[in-house]
Formats: sequence, structure tokens, C-alpha cells
Amino acid sequence: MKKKKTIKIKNVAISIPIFVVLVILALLVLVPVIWMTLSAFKPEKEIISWPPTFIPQSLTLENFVDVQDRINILRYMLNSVIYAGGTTLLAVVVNSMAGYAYAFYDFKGKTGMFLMTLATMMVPFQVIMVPLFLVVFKMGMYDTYWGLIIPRVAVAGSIFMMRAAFSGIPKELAEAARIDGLSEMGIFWRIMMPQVKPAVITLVILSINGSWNDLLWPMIVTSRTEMRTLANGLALFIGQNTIEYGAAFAGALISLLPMFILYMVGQKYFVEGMASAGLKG
Amino acid sequence: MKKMMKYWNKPSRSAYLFLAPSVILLILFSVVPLIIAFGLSVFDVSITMDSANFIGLDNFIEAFHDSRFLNSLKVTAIFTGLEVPLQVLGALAVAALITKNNIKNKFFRAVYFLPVICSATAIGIMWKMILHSNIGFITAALQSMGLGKINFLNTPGLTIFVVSFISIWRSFGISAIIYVTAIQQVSASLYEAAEMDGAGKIRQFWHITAPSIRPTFWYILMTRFAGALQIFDIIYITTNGGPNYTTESTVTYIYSRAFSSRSSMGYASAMSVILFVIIMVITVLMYRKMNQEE
Amino acid sequence: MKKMNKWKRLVALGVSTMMVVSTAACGSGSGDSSKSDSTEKKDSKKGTTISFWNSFTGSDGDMLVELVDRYNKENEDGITVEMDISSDFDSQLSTAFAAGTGPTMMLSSSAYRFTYGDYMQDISDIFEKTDLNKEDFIQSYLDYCSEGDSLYFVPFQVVGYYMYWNKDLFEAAGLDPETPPTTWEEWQKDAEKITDESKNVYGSGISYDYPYQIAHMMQRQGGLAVTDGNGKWKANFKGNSGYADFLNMYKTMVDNGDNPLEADTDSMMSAGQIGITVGGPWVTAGLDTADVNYGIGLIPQGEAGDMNSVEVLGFSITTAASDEEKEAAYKFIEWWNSEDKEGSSPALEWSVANGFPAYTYSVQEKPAYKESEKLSVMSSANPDAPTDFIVDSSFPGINDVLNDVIPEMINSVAFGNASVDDALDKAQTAADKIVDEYNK
Repeated sequence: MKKKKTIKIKNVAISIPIFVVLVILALLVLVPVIWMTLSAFKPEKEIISWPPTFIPQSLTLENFVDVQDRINILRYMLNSVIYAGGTTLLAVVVNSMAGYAYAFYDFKGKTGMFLMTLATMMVPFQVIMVPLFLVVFKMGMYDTYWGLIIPRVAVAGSIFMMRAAFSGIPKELAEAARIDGLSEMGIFWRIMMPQVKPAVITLVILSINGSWNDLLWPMIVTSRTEMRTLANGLALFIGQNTIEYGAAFAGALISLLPMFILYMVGQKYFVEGMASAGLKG
Repeated sequence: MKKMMKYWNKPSRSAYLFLAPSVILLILFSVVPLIIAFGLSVFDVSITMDSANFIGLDNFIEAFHDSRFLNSLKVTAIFTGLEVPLQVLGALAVAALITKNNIKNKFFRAVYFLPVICSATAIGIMWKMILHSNIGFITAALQSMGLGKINFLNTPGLTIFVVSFISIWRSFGISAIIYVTAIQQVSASLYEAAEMDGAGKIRQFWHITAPSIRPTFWYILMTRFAGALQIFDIIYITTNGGPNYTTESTVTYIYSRAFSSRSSMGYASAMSVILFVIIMVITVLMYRKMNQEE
Repeated sequence: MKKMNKWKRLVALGVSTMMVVSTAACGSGSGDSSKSDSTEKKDSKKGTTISFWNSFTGSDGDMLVELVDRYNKENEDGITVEMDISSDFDSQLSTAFAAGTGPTMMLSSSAYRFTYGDYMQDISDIFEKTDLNKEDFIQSYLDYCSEGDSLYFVPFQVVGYYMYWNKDLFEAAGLDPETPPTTWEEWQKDAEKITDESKNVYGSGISYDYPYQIAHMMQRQGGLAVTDGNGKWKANFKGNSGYADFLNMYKTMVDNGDNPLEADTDSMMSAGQIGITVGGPWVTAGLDTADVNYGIGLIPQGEAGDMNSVEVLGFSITTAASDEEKEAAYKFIEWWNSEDKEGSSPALEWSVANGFPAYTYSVQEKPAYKESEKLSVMSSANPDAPTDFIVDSSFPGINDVLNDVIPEMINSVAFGNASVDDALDKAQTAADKIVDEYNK
């Protein structure tokens, strides 16, 4: 009895400072984000004012109306969904397969191929942009959804991440499945993929998020207004010479919301992924 | 057909099948453009590639005499030195604290993830506004607390810390979440065994969690490294390299050379090659260490 | 225009080889014909669609969208202008040009002729093929758009920088709100009076990170940074007493706390925290939304004599345009400058709404133009003053001077690692290097 009590006290003594640290971090994140959110509801005059305000003195929806009036939100959002959805769907398959191969197989040229993959991560996009555009253009994919999606599917970082996730799985699991007569593809798809569900969800969220907020690639690979993504549309409020802060923040919120919902849904699956992995382990 | 299936089903061969799609896509859309871009480094050529003169290693020689390029390497090194350790270890510490799936931790995870899903542009103008030396909300709040006027974005020596902070602020959430998923994958039976041996939480972390998530640790370390050495967007939006070039990173400078003035794609490529070599050397060293450990 | 060089051919070859591999790999053998071909083969009877790229993000871009929409509805030639506003114009242009494609028409600073000149068509025949009257265009602006006998742009907007002062702050400092400074000494004195540390108010708003603003101010004191000296370009930084005066004035005001050490002074002006500043016509948009009580005037002149420095933006037609598309683009440009029954034109509307001075004599004469208070200040400048901005208007290295030389100079002065003389010497060295390149 006595022993149990001391453990409890010790736990509380540790968990309070931990909680305080977590709360401070959360405030560091939240205060600016809340400031931005509240600013989206302030008139422009109040966002740029002295002394600066945190709580809006007058609430307005004019920034949202402005965004709604000036860009075709639905069309841009549709393009963003196609771009992000298409890229992600293919990215999950392609990058998981590659990550699995690097984690589970030994083969000739493994180090070389992996280093080549890593090397692609090390050149700033701004430098390969022009040659990459030439490739896409010559393939006849300029101004098409394919041109938007295909070049963005294979990502060294994602392959690396999936490799890390698969490395955590004991190799005996594959051996056992082979004895059961499963094909290599079957092992990967039916046994291995469910094991790394949390990593797959992370990959999905990262990939969608990356394309959703991508500004430069959709800008150069498409040339028509009806091919523009939401990120492109929102960039219009940040002018060459002036920034419309209210509209820019309102736009940022509009664009943030679907991502946040997606994350909340994703988080639910993190847990489920865990539960099933736990059962087997 | 069946024979073929069988042929490819041999583990060593099916590895190539698994790799084929990514390798083809990477070669087409990353390696080929990369080789072309590197090829440009020995030419005097503009961004539209309309006329090219072979000039050998002149671009490289110029780069090593260009004080802004050398300065940008220094800035990048400082940024990386600040950002990577804080990000990689800080996120790990945070992840360890929010691993358990309870409401409280889910809330914190959601909060920390918020900046990750904001666009870089929105984050940039937001911080620019709240840290403004005159009309910034945070500046004003600190001033009213009697902490004096702090010119966050226009003080050489200080601004690089501010930019590093914004960069960590933006992405530590994703690093933490990736750690969390890795920690959660560690088999519960390992912990049970340790508990039986009477190991405390901290010892459990060092002896079970840490070794188990090593691949994830390497992944985060190496990608953060590559990312930090190529830092661009946050700097471009918040300070654009100022004040007095104290936050001008290598990629920011490469970008300005490629586009805004003199438009020298050849020179920009030469600088990228140098940066590439630096990143690659560090990465290969880390890769070898990683393989030894695994 | 220029012959295709070896390297480019090599790149093309490499790319085509990859294509063969890729089409086999991706299993999408069709659709290899490039997109630009199919858009060029538009059925002429059904009308022509032309693409139109520019970088007019922000609220003025919104007005451009409306005007283009109006043209698409009103024109009887079946022409559709498909406009694309780019938030990263240079990336979009350079990649497109590198691949041999591009828009039919674009809108850019006339300085783009130095970077993308190879991809622009000579459009000097526009005055023969349309009703546009060459005599109506102000010649000095057309000079910005030409090289030799070739015309690369038709003027669209003339951007001058002006002085803005906050009348309330003038009053609070006991100054006459209707008498802005007319000399640099007055600017400095007024700034000192207006500065109020307790309210975070600064008298003067010069940004160390705004080379255009600095260039407009600097050249009024020390003249042009690059001039034509007997057929060779020559840089004028070293020993330039006017530039030294400007830099000393800036440094003194920063040290005295009359000018903030801040990159973003525009938002401070909008927040009513700055007494006097210099900026383009777009500054008024921010001041109007913020209800700032302000005045507009000409930037004080200095030792260098009267100057009316401007940048000229214009329409240009790229080499990617077919003859038919070029003709359609001509019609659009013609429409932009033609009057309707009430005597109004899109050019006039644009000028009045956004505060850009006119580039034609006919627009200058319009009542709506004359009535505009902003424009009357802007066009009160001496019409005979030179219009060159920071360098001789035909010097191709203007961007290098603006983006490299001037920022390096002002930063080293602002952050105190160089004396004014040293900064000017360094600027001279940097400028000489650029000048040499164009003297070859």
C-alpha cells in the first residue's frame, strides 16, 4: 500500500512540469495563429494600426466576402483536390513500395540506388525548375493535370520515411508469410502495409499538405486561370507592392480548414492503426 | 505467364519490381533535370537558356571569390546549426511526452500540427506582421511589459535566430508526430518485460524506445539537414536575406542570381553544385553511420 | 532570333531520348504532340483566343480582370483574351520561354526588354495596322519601349514615385499641414519635429530594404548612377557628393531616431506612424483604407536639377504568338486606348482609378483626368525634366544596379559597417563590373 502511494506522488510531481511545458509550447503555437484568425475578421484599418490590437474592436466579414468575390474558390479548390488527391494516391503506392524494398530486400546496387534517391533531395527546386519544365513540356504534359501530378509523385523524403517505418517490422514476419505461400506482392500489400498504417497516414497527410500549399509548380506548369489551384488564387492578395492582409489571412483560413479536418480524421486512424498493429504484435 | 510470375517472385528480383516505378519517376523528373542543371554550371547562360557559351570552371572560380556567396554559406551553416539540433531533439522530447493516446495528448498534437498545414506564405506574412518593430503585436506587448523595443527583423545578429525560430515553429509539429507514430509502433511486450525488470520510464525510453525508433531518428535528422541547408521560403517571405545580408541563405542567393538580376543560370547552377557537394558529403557520412548502427 | 546553340540542341536531344523511355514506361504513348501546336491551330472563323500574362496581383489586378472581361464581352471580332495573373511572373516566363512557348501578349516593365528581348516581337507596325496615333504618345515614354528602330512595348502605365506626408502628424508637431518639405534640409528638420518617441512616431520613413524608393530619392541629389560617356557606359558612385549627402542624411536620421531602422515602412505609414515618406501611387490605396489624413507632393528636387524619374510598363507580344494572334493582340491594345461615346477609355479609367500619370496627350486633356487631385499633383512635374530612372533609360543593367549595387550600399551604411565614402567606393567597384559587362 505504502509503496504504491509514493509512486503516485512521484508521477504527479513529474507530470505537472511536463504539462506546463506542453502548455507553453501550445501557447507559442496558438497565440500567433489565433492572432491571424482574429485578424481575418478585422477591417484592414485595424490590422495595420498602432497600438496593435489582439481582440478585434469591430468584427467584419468583409475580408471573406472579398476573397469570395475575387477568386473562383470552388474551381480553384477542385483543382487543388485533383492535384493533391492524384499526387497522394500515386505517392502512397509508389513510395511505400520503394521504402519496403529498401527496408526488406538485399539486392545489387541497393546503396547506389538509395544514394541516388537521396541525392534528388539535395538540389533546390529553383535550380532544377527550368530543366524539369523542359522535360514535362516535351512529354506533352504542359497545362494538363498529368503534368501537375506525375512529376511530384516519387519523393525521396517519403521513400526514406517509409523505409524507416518498414525497418521497424521484424523480418521473420515476411519469412513466415513466404512459408504460407504468399507472393511477394501479397506479403507487401496484405501483411506489411497494415503494419505501417500510422506511417501511411503520415505520408498521406504530408503529401496532400505539400501539394495543397504548393505555389510554384502549379504556377509554372499550367498557364490558364481554370487550371489554377487554391494556393495560387490566394497568392493574388499578396501584391507586388502592397499586401492586403485581411484578405490574405481570410484566404489562409479558408485554405487551412480542409487540411485541419483532414488531420482530425487522420488522427482517428492513427489510433486504429495502432490498435490493429498491437493485436498482431 | 505463371513462369514469369514465379521468376519475378524471387525476393531479390521482386525488389527491382518494387523499386521500378519510383526509380523511373525519379530519373525522369529529378535526375535528368538535375544533370541538365549541373551541366549548365560550366556555361555562361541566362535563365531562358537562349545563348550559352562554354566557360569551363569560371563560374566556380567566381563563386569562391564572391563574398555574398561565401557569406551565404556561413548564414546557411549558422541556420542549420541552430535549426537541426533543436528540431530533431526538441521534437523527440515533445513526442515522448505526448505518445499516449489520450484526449489531452491528442489536443496537443493537433495544436502542434497547426503550423504544418499553414502555407509558408501565410506564416511568413503573419510573423512579419506580429514581429514588426513598430506596429507588431508581440513587439508592442513586450514593450508594454517593460522589456524595451526589440527590433526582431532588422537587427543583424538577432534576425537569424528569429528566422530559425520561425522555421522550427513551422515544422517541429510534423517531426514530433512522425516520432509519435514510430514510438507507438514499438511492441508493447518489450515495455512489459522492462517493467517486470523494474526499469523506470526514463530508462525504458533510453533502452527500448530510443533503439527501436532509430530509423525514424535518422530519417528526421537527414531530411532536416537537407532541408535546412536549402532553406528558402521562410527567409524569402520574412526578411528576403536582410538585414545587411545576415539571413541571406545560399538558396536565397542562388534564386536571386538565377532570376532577379543578371539572370545567370550558369552561375546559379555552379553555386548549386557546390551546395550539392556539401550536402551530399554530409549525407553520405550520416548514411554510413546509419548503416553501421542498423 | 539567335541561332540555336550546341548546348541547347544537346539538351533537346537528351530530353527527347528520355521521352522514348518514358512513354514506354508510363504507357501513355498518345498525346505527345505539344500543346502549343493545338492552340495555334484555332479555327479563325470561330475567333481567336489569345493568352495574356502579367503579374498584377493585388487590387489593381482585380480591376484589370474586369476590364479584360468587358473586352471579351464587347469586342465584335470574336477575340477572347485569356488572362493569367502570376504570383511568380519571372519563373513562369523563363520556364515557358526556355521551352519555346509563352503567352501571346504580356504586360511587364519595359526593362524586361533587356532580359527577355530575344522573345519579344518588334511591334512598330502597330501604328500602321491600328488607329493608334504615334503622335499622341509622349515620346520619352516610347523611348523606354524601343531599341533602335524597333518597338517592343506599347506603354500601359507610367510609374513615378511621390512624396506622401501625414497631415495630422504635421499638425501635432506644430507644422503647417499644407506645407510639406520642398528641400532635403526641410525634410530633415520636419522629421525631427514630428518624431515622438512616446508614441512610436517617426518623422521620416525611408526603408533600407526598398531600393526603388532609395533610387528615386538618391538620383534627385546625385543624378544618374550610370550614364553614357562618349559611347561607353560609366558609373557615377565614387565621389558623388549628392549620393553622399543622401546617405549621410539617412544615416543621421536613423542615428537620431527620426527614421526607423525598418524594412517595412509602408505599413507604418498606413498605421499613421510616419510623417513623410516616398512611394509609388499604390501607397494611396493603403492610406485611403486606413483613413490617414495625408497629402501628396513631388519628391523634393536636389542639386542634380529637376528630375521626373519614371518606370514605364507596357504591353508586348512574344515570339510564341502567331501572326493571327498578334493581330488580335493589336486589336486589344487598340481598344485599351480608344474612346467610347462618352470620351472615356480603359486607359483613362485605369489612370484615374490607380493614380498613374497618362502616357498620351489625349488622356491628359480629359476632364476626368484633370479633375483628379492625385493626378494633378503627379502631372505637375516639369514636363521637360529627364524621365530616366536611376540609370540612363537605355542602359541594360538597370536591374543589377537596383537589386545589387544600391541595396549593398544602403545596407552597409545603415548597419554601420562602412563609412559613406567607403560604401560609395564599393558601389563604384560593383557598378564598374556591371558596366564593363555591357561595354563589351
